[in-house]
Amino acid sequence: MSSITPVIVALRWEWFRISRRPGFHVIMGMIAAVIVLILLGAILIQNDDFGIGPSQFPLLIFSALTLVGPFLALFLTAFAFSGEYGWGTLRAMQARGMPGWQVILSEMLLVTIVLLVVWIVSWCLSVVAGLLAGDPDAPLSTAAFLDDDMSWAGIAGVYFGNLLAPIAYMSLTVLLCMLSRSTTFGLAVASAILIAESTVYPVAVLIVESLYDFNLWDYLRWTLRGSTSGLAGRFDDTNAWYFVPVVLAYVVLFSALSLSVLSRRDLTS
Amino acid sequence: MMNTLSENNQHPAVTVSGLSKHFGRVRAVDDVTLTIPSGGVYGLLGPNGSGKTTLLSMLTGFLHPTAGTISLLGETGSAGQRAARRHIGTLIERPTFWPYLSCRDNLRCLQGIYASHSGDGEIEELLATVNLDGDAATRKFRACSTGMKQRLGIAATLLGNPSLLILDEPTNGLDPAGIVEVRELIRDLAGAASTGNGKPRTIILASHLLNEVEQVCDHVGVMARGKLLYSGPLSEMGTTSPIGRVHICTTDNDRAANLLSETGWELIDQSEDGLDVAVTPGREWEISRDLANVGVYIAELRPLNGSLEAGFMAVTGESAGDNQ
Repeated sequence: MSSITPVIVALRWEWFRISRRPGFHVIMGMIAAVIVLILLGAILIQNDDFGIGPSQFPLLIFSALTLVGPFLALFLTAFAFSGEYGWGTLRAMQARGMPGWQVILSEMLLVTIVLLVVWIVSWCLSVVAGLLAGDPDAPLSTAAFLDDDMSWAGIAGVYFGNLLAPIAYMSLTVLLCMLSRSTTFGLAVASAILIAESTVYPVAVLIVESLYDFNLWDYLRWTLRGSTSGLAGRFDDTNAWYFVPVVLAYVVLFSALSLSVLSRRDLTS
Repeated sequence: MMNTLSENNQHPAVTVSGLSKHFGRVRAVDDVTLTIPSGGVYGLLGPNGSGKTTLLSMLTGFLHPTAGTISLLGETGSAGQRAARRHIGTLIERPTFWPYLSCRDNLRCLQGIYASHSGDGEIEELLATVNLDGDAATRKFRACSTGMKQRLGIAATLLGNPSLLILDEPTNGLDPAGIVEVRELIRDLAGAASTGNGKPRTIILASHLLNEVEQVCDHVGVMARGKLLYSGPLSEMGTTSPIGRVHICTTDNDRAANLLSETGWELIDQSEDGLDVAVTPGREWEISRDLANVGVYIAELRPLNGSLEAGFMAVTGESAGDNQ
């Protein structure tokens, strides 16, 4: 308990700072606008009989978040972390003996909470949109989010399982910012890794599988993004949950490395 | 939550032993052993690049020592030092704050992070103490002048009423009126016998401005090229050095200069006013004797150790003008 209290205190003041940063509300507004636009588009398409029913709105939002979630995590992490080295505020925070792990953990917790809020609000909006656009006489579950015979565990997997990849990317971004002492550099490298995984990896899978009749997916899914894709794409398969500890291992590894860098490195101004 | 330090308040504020910090081949701090007594103002003097900031940065935990041990407020070891640092206010090199927050919000944020439970009353009091109350308190840090930033930095060091203040060049960037204000503030802080909770307050003031140290400090340490050359009472600096200096004016300065050089005295300076001669303290009379033996008589003999500048020169062997 004595270790948790300072983290909660640090988290509170993290929120105090980030909520007062000029760009924060702009970012949140842009995310909200994108979600609303997607839903409005879905409603229009549904009305035009393009085959997307109101019950699939949450899945639509889920797909969008799967795509942009890691980027959002990278950006928010860099945003929350930016300047702490450059402004020297990392020194200010640690001047009175605040341990480095509390700094890192509070930063990561804050970004996770913001991501979680984005996920929950998005889900609520998609459910409301589904209810408004759906058949008023249909049962709530059918109109809102239960498309087929999806279990509650499956639903949780759909909406929150893919939050794991952004968390892993968040810890990767923190590590790269620590190593480079530059938020810009950390953000650029983490983005490059994400883009490479997203673009090169599927192509590599396609080529290898077509040339050699070889299921590369079985071997490469244990990459950071592949792990989460496995979880997200197979939400109805309980085996998909085996990916959870793998992703968490990434988070622990990156965080431990970040802490090691922070504790060993001199804090010059 | 403030940790409780050792009950024994008789320990020195700072004790370092064999402390070194090397950056590659550069020995920024080289085997420094130092004890700073609890209470009062300790001045750390030295030219730019002498290692003052590096030494203080190791005390605050910003830099990891290459070698040596540190004891802060009687606490050793990493956990003990971390606990001790909760009672240490630090201003090293330049004030560091979040630029998009106001002066008041920056202090509130640091107060929260430092887990100082003194409340908003402390913030307003500190803002008033450093003349940042009123409209200045709501100004964003990035929009503050250099002097305002420096004063906010000093206010932040006072959060939680720490028993040890480490101030590195606190008057940097201040205008003359601001410099006077800060010096008076330091004197006031030092003048208060304790922090209010019975613990003596110690201030470590690093500066390369001799008159600044002379005005507010009672003990001094002198650093040059990473080494600590002197540590002790301000009044004794220079006099305890094996080499002192005297200024003499004689009936024939040219002849006196030649004679002193021939007889082994170190002539430091010669001008129309007279001669500056290096001499072991207590043996000044021998100069008079040697000159009188050849018919040159001293009209004036004045020790140069009386000023801090002379003491500093005696200790560092440098020209004080290089350090202003």
